[in-house]
Amino acid sequence: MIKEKINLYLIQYAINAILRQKSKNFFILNIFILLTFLLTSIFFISNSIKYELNSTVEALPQITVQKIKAGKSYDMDTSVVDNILTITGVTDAVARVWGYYYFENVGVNFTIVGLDTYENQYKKSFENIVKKFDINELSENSSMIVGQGVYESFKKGYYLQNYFNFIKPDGSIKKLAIAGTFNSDIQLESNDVIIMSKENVREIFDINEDKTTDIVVKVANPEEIDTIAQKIKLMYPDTRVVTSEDFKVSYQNIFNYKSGIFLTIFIISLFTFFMIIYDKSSGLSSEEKREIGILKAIGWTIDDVLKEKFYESFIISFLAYMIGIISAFAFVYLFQAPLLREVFVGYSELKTTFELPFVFNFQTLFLVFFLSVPVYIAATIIPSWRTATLETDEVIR
Amino acid sequence: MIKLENVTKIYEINKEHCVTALENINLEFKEGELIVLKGASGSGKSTILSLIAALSKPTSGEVIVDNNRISKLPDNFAALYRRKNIGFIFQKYNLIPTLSVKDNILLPLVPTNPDEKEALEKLNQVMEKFDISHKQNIIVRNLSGGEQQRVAIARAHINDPKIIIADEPTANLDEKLSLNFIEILKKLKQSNKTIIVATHDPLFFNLDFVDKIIEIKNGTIGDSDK
Amino acid sequence: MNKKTTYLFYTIISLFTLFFIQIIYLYSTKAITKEIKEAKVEFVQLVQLPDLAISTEATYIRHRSLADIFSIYKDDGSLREYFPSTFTYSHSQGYK
Repeated sequence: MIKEKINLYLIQYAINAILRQKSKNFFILNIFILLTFLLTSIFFISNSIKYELNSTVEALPQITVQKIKAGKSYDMDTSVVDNILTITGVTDAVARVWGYYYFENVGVNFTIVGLDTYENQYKKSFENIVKKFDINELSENSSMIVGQGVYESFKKGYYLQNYFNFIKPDGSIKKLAIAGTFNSDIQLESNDVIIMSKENVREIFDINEDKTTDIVVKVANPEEIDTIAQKIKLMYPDTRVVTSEDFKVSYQNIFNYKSGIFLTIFIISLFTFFMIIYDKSSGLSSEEKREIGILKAIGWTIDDVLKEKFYESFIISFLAYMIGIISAFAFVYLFQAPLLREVFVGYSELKTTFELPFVFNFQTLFLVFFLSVPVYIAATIIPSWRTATLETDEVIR
Repeated sequence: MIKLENVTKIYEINKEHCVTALENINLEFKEGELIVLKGASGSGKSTILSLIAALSKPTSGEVIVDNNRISKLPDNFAALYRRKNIGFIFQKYNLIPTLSVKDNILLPLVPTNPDEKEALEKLNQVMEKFDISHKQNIIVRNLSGGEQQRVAIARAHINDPKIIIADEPTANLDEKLSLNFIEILKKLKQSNKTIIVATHDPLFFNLDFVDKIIEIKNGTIGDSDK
Repeated sequence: MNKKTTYLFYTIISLFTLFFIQIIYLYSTKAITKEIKEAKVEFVQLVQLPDLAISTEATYIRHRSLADIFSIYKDDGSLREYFPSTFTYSHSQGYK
């Protein structure tokens, strides 16, 4: 029954037609594969990064309050915490101390986050996310837990022992021992992070006891987050209040900053693709026209001719599509997207792993399919249809 | 069986320039006849063949084949009509040069999606009949002129058509091959097909198995013999 | 079916097979497992800072969602200017 539906002779003829122009079709196939591969790889990477971000977005603070002075982020008074706690609906407000430390030897930035104390409440968390640490060392005030990338940077900067000397703003040294490093599983989040006690952070950044970097607020009813955020803004007009909703929106727009690069790659791909399409659709060569004329003269209907052209273009475009996406899967998820990841990572010296989580997104595959295969098929069939509808006699002569 | 009634064909080269290929032609052929259309190049005989094969439409008049008016057939029906009834041997053969002999011969059958065994049987029959089986896998452009013509004839035959049309069949052949072709023509005549040959080759004008010789001059009919 | 059609058929079948094998393999090895996801959530709960450590060369990219509008001009004096166009051509490497 299937044989009745599919005309194998027609498919055979289509294959012969493809092989008749071997080099041209091989070239088109390769361009096609390359474009599909590039586009799909970029989609895969951005899908995975978004997935990674979205899997932890709920753990972020509900409200973050930052002080803005002269357009720049500034330390604020710790007393603000007490005032925020008086707002109804607020269950907790914590003053945070954190910032960026520039390690000049290697040219990298570390994110240093201060925790209140290494109490037992953290012990369990640390078990899950920190490898090789000594809890005893941790309880001492002069140790820290660092991300994988930080540890590598220390080594690069010639620190071979398990400690690091921070340079304080007044030029003196603050030495901290390394109690452990974060698991490689969470490298994407923790690569550049250093955790230490709040006192140590204050010392390294010279932040007073009565000052804080920002304040995180917990709210009893999630529906009230926006209202309370507004109240805080009213209380302190010089602050910027970031809600968890803002984080979600920001995650959605994740590639706005770098959209220049993507836009460029996307446009180049489209241009190349449409150049091929234009060349195809601007008409057939006289040889191709004659062939259609001959086929019609010996009894092929227009439908038969178009069916054959459909098979021809479908074979090339579908093969290109399949090879493109299979290569993209391997490229991104097995080989961590060499070269392409540099676009995402930039020129940061602190390189993180690019082991992205595998996300199977049907829409992406569909999108790439519909952007390429039907367009190519149409570009092949339309000029053939134009020729096939001419009077056969004219075409042969 | 084949009738041309008051057929006129005018080709529009461009907006100012028109060429009248045929003017008010009236012809009638019976089934099983072998007809030779005689005339110089440009006289209009190829146009008559095109019209009978529904490859083009007349500007006015009717072409009737087996009581069917084929002059106004829509394109797809014209192709189906050709598939069923016509075997055309073109002057330049019009084979697909990069396909093999057997692929070329099978071409008219491809859209019908025939049964594999049936198709193979027909193919072998036809290749044997025109003595081309020994070259079946050879690419057509590597064949000699005479061999290519035999492939063209075989292709015109595979769909078992009622009407066989040959346009200047010996134009590119030497005398020996032309005589070969005439032998093939004799064989075809025996199978009771209607055969129409357009030619200005004098070899055809004195054959005893030809039923009619019709002269075409400047788009009109001159004298006919027999 | 002649040779070429058979080749084509087998090529398409093998491509599909490769595709499905890839998906299954990647799903079982590279997808985020429950444990790993829990570890990530725990870390973020601990640190409470957004965004991934993918771009760490400029502080306002590292924690993008918390960076303010004018951060481009804010960076430490020892760092060169970071601007979108520097993605197309890199600044000079000499820090030391």
